Amino acid sequence: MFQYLIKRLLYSIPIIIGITVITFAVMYFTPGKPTDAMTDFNTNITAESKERLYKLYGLDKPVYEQYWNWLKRVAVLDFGSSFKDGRSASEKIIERLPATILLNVLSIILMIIVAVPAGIYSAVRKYSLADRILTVIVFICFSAPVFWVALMLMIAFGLWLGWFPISGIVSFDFNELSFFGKTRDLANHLVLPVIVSTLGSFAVLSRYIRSGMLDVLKQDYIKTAYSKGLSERQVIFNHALKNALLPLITIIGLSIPGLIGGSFIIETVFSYPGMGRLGFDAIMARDYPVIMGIGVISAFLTLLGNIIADISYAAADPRIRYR
Amino acid sequence: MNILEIKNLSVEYKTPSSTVEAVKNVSFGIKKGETFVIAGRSGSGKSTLASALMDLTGIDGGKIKSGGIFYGGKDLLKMPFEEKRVLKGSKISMIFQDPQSYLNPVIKAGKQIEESFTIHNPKASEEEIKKRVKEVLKKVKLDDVERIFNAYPHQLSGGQKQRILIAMAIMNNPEILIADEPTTGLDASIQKQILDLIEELKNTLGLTLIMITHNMRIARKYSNTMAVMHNGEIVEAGNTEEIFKNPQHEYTKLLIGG
Amino acid sequence: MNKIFKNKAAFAGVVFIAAVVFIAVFAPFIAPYEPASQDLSVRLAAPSAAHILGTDDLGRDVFSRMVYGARVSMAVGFFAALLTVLIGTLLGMVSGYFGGIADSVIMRFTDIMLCFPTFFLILLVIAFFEPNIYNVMLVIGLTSWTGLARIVRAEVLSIREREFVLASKMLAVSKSRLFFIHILPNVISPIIVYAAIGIGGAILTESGLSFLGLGVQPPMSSWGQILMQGKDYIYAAWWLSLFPGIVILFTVLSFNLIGEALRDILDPKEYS
Repeated sequence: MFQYLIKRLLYSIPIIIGITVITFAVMYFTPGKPTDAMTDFNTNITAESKERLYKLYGLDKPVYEQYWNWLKRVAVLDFGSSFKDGRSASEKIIERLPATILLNVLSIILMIIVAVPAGIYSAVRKYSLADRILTVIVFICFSAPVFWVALMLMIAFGLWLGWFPISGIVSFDFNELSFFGKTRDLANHLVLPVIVSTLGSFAVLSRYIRSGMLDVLKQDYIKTAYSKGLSERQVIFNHALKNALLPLITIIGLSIPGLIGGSFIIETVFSYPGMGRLGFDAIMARDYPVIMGIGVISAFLTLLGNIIADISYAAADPRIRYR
Repeated sequence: MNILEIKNLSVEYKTPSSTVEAVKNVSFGIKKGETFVIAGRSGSGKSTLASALMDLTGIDGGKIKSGGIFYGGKDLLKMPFEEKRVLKGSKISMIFQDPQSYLNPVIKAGKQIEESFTIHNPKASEEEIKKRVKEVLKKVKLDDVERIFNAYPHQLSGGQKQRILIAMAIMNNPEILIADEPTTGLDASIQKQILDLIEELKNTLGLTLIMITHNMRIARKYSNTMAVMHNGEIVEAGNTEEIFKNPQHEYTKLLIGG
Repeated sequence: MNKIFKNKAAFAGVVFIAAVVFIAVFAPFIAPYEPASQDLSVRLAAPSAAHILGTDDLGRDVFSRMVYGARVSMAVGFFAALLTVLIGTLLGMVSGYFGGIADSVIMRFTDIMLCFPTFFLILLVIAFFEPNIYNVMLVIGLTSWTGLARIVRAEVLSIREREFVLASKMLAVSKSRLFFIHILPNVISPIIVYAAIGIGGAILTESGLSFLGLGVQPPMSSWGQILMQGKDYIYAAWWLSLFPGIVILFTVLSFNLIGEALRDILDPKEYS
C-alpha cells in the first residue's frame, strides 16, 4: 500500500510538468502579445513604451527562460495581476473557487444519490419496463445541450412557476437575512444550477454502474452466493454491490474535468459567481493572467481529484490494499 | 431408491445470432449414497447440467426449456424460489471448478464461511457459529484457522480456497454434493489431496456425490455409476466398471482410449 | 426482444439523421425565406402560418435559419469527428503497437490532456483565434481524441498478442502491412462506435460555443446561435429557445442511439 502510494505520487510529477508546459504553450503560441489588451485601446501609446512593457513582462527573453520564470511564479501561485482591474489573479480566482467547489460537490453528491440506485436497479431488472424508461432518460440526459436544459428550467421553474431564482448565488437582501434565511436563500439559488450540472454526469455514471453491476452478476462468486441459499436481495446487497461500486471512486475522479468544464457554461447561463464565470469573462477580455491561473488551477484540481480517487480505490479494494 | 431424479431435462442458451441447446432431453436417476460421475469433454453440456441441478442456469443467461428435477418427490423446477432457496446450501450443495474466482474478492474468507451457516441458522448465537465453523474447518483439514479467517481470498492458495469452498458446501450436512470439475485450476500435487478429501467426506458424512469430470481416470477411481455426455446428450450410462470394461458407444470408447 | 427495441430506436435515429442531412443539402429549396433577410415589421412574431416557428428579434424566419443551421451542425459534427478519429486512431495504434518510449510519451500526453477541462481548452483557443466554423471544427477535433486513443491502444495490445499476428510476424510480413491488414480491421468496430457518438458530441460542443457567441458568426446561422439570441427573450419569445434545442437534442440523441446499436452489433461479447 505504501509502495503504491509513493508510485502514484511519483507518477504525477511528469503530469504536473506537462500541465504547466501546455498552459504556457497555449499562451505563448496564441497570436497577439499578452500586453496587447493593455496597449490596443490606448491610442497614446508609443512603440517605445510598448517595448518597455514587453521588457517588464519579460517577453523579450528566449522562450525557455520565459517558461522558467513563469513556472517559478506559478509555484507560489503568482499568476500576475489581472489586466482588467490590476488585482492579483490568484486572489480573484481563489475568492471565486468556493462557489464553484460548492456547486460541483453538490452535483457529485446528487449524481451519486440518483445514479447509483438507478444503475443498480436497471442491472438487476435488466430489460424490464423500468430499465427501459431509465435507459431512455439516460440517453436524453446524455444528448441534451446543458445550456438549453438550463434555459428551459429557467423558463419553467423560474419564470412561469416562480419557484426558484434564475440567476446569481444569493438575493440582494442576503446580508439582512437570518442564518436560516441565508441557508434557504442559498439553497434556492443552487437548485437549478446543481440539477443542470448533474444531468450529463448522472447519465454517464448510471450507465457505468449498470454495466458494472451486470458484469458482477455474471461472476463466479455470485454463483457461490446463490448456491449457499442466499436470496436475490442478499446476493445483491451482500455480495454484488461492493464489487460493483468499487469503480465508482475512479469514475467520480474522472468526472471532475467534465464538471469543471461544464461550470464555464452553466455558471455563465445562471450568472453564478464562480470560477467558471470568471474564466469565461477573462477569456472574452483576454485577461491572460486570470486565464492561465484558471487553467493551471483547474488542471491541478483534476489531478488532485484523480490522485485521491486512486488512493481511495486502493484503500477500498483489498486486492490492492494487501498486496 | 433414487434421491434425485432428472426427467427429460433440456437447457438452452440464446445468443444474439443463435440458440444453442446445451442439454438435450436428458433423463437419469441418482441413488442415495453413491458417487455418480458425469463425464464428457468441455462443451458436452455436463457443467450446464450441474448448474441446472443447482438452479444456477439463469445466471449464465441460460433457460430451462423443459423437463423436471425431482428431489424428495417434488419437482425443483416447479418449486417457488423461497422453498428452493432453503434447500440450497443445506440439503444440496455445490463446489466448483477453479476456486480462484468462486470466492468474493472483497469479503474476508471468515465472513464468507460463516455466512453459509448463518443463512440457514439465522438464530444461531456467536458461540454456536464459531463452534460449527471450527468443526467444519477441521473436517476439510484447514489449520491456521485464525489467519485464514481474516484473510481476503487473494491472500490464500488455490488449495486453501477449494477447501474453504468445500467447507462452505458441507456446513449444513447436505445430502447431495455436486462437484463440478473440483480439481481444475489446482496444482497437480493438490488435486489428489482434494479428491481424497471429497471422497473421505462422502464416506464420513454419508453424502451422495455427483461429480463432473473430463478425466476418465478420476471417473473410474472414484465413481460407482457414470453417465457419458456428448453434445448435450447422455450417450451411455451405467455401472462405471462395466462401462470401462465394455464401452458400447463410439464416443465412450474414444474417451476411454484417449 | 431487446434487440428489436434497440434497433427500432436506432432505426428512428437513422431516419432522423437522414432527414436532417437531406434538409441541410437542399436547404435553399426547403427554407421559405432567406435565412439572413430581416423583416423588422414582424419582430419576435409567434409561430404562425407565415412563419411556422416564429421570427427572431430582427424579424428573421426561425425555421429558415434552422434549416441553414443544419448545414453548420452537420458539417461541424462530421469533420470534427473525422479529425478526432484520425488523431485518436493513429496515436492509439502507434502507442499500442510499438510500445516502449512511444507508448509512454503518448499515454502521458493523453493523461495530461485529460486533466484539462476540454471545454475550457476549446473556449480558450476559440477566443484567441478567430471564432469561425473552421476553427470550431479544428479545435473540437484536436481536443476530443483522448478516449479513443486509449480504447484503440487497449484493442491493439490485445490483438497484438493473438496468434495470427504472431504468425504473420514469423512469416516476416512487413510492419506496415501487418498494421493495415491485420490490426486496423480488428480495431475498426470501437472506432466506428466512437465516431458515431463523437459526431453527436461535436454538435453539442458547437452549439455550446455558438451559444456563448464563440461559434459560427452571423450572418451564418447555427442552432446554438439561435439559442443565444433566444436567451435574451426567453420570456417574450419562447419559440426562439424551444425549437433549436429540441432539434439539437434529437440529432445528438440519434447519433448516440446509432452508436449504441452499433456497439451491440459489432461487439457481440457484450451480450450473453
